[in-house]
Amino acid sequence: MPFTLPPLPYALDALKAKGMSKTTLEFHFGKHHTAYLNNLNGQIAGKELESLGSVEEVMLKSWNGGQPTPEFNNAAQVVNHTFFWESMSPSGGGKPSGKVAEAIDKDLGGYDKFVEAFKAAGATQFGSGWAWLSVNGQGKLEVSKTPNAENPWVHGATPILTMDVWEHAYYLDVQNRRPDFISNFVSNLIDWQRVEQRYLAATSK
Amino acid sequence: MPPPAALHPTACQHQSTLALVDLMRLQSLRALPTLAVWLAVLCAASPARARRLLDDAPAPAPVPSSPAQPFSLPPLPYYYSALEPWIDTETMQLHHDKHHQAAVDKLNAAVANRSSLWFGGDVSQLVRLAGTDAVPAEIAEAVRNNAGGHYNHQVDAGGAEQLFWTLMAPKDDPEDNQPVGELADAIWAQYDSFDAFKQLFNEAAVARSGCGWAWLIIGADKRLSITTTPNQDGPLMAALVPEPGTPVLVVDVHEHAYYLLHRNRRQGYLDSWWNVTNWEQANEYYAAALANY
Repeated sequence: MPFTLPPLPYALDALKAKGMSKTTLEFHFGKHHTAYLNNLNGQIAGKELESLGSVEEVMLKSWNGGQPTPEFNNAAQVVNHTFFWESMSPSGGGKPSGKVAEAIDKDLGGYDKFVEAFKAAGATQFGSGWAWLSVNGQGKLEVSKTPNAENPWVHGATPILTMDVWEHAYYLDVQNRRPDFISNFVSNLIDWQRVEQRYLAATSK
Repeated sequence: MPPPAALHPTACQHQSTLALVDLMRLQSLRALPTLAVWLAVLCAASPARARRLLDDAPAPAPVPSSPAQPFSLPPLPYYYSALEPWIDTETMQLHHDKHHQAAVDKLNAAVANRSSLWFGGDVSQLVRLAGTDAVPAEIAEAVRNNAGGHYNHQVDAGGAEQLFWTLMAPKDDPEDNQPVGELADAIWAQYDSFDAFKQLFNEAAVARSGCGWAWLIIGADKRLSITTTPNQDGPLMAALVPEPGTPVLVVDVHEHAYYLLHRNRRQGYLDSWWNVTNWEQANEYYAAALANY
């Protein structure tokens, strides 16, 4: 059975007031994310991978211990983008609270240090990639960056927040000014409630 | 470092050259006689200047190396608008003035106290050392990324290779833009036809996921080869790329090269790029590379 995409969690123009334009979402979700899914379905048609239960499973299998097979790129980008939409909210932004805020204080030295590290991760990921906040194998929060389609899941960590820094994520809105995109994401877009939920799920075992 | 204002193409936008730009936009052979008249009026003695005027820009003055700025960014060899409607003006401005400039600035910062890596501003020599012990570990990544970026785009570093910007030019008949010279012969001989070659090149360029470049290179065996590289790697980086060689033709497939006009449609961008490929220049690089092997 071919895989399908969950719908965007909000309307295409829902993040406009928060600095991510409708046109960006039209292309980012409607073209890029959709193309990854369609290409993945085409790649796995009639193959063993098609019988796996989720795109996440296809992603993990095709990572192939660091020698990814051709399906990895599309599978991982399907997963990464869904996670990205769900990391943002029309009522997003501001500062975290609750357990994740405590963990940020304890593991990362506080919100300001988190912001500095997360912004640096996004800014210094050369070429295409992602910035992440994850729960690592020791149950601690860590900030990281990955190139292209790679993500912390294939390295055994559990992401709770991601930011896309491929140029298609920001070029229509701020052109070459990636740092402006990053600042806006951190200040105005992060869905901290969702991040808290993910943190609790990741640390409840 | 921005080019001196007097040499910047936009400083020369007086009435007659604006008319020239308008004529260029017609992209019609009927414009040629009028262009010839304008050239006669505007031309200085040298043929090189004449060619650059046809390309709509003054000759860039060589910018000498200095301790603070061993590498520099010359202006484009044509107006930002020269490749319209195939490559849009805003993209040319951002791509040259922001993206390429950033690579030059970061490269200068990385090699600031290492004059053995300056090569009189010829980045093609530095790029050959990427990934080798000749580049200190603490600046290895910065050199790979920023010397790579400066080299891949460059206009004129005094070296033999002058790449992305010079491998595009406004064309009289863009929709019938064909290879010329010995390079054309080699393409037909090796790929059976220009269309067959284009298809292979397009497939490779589209398949390069994320940021990167698609190249036509010539190897030591004197055969042409289509290859792609990630980020700002290039075929002179023998220590880093699986298929080193000498560039003959190159296209930038970073999203910033096409996103404003073509959005996600990289193939649409490539279709446009074929209309402005500077085959005369590619043929010169091919001949020079053959002579060196």
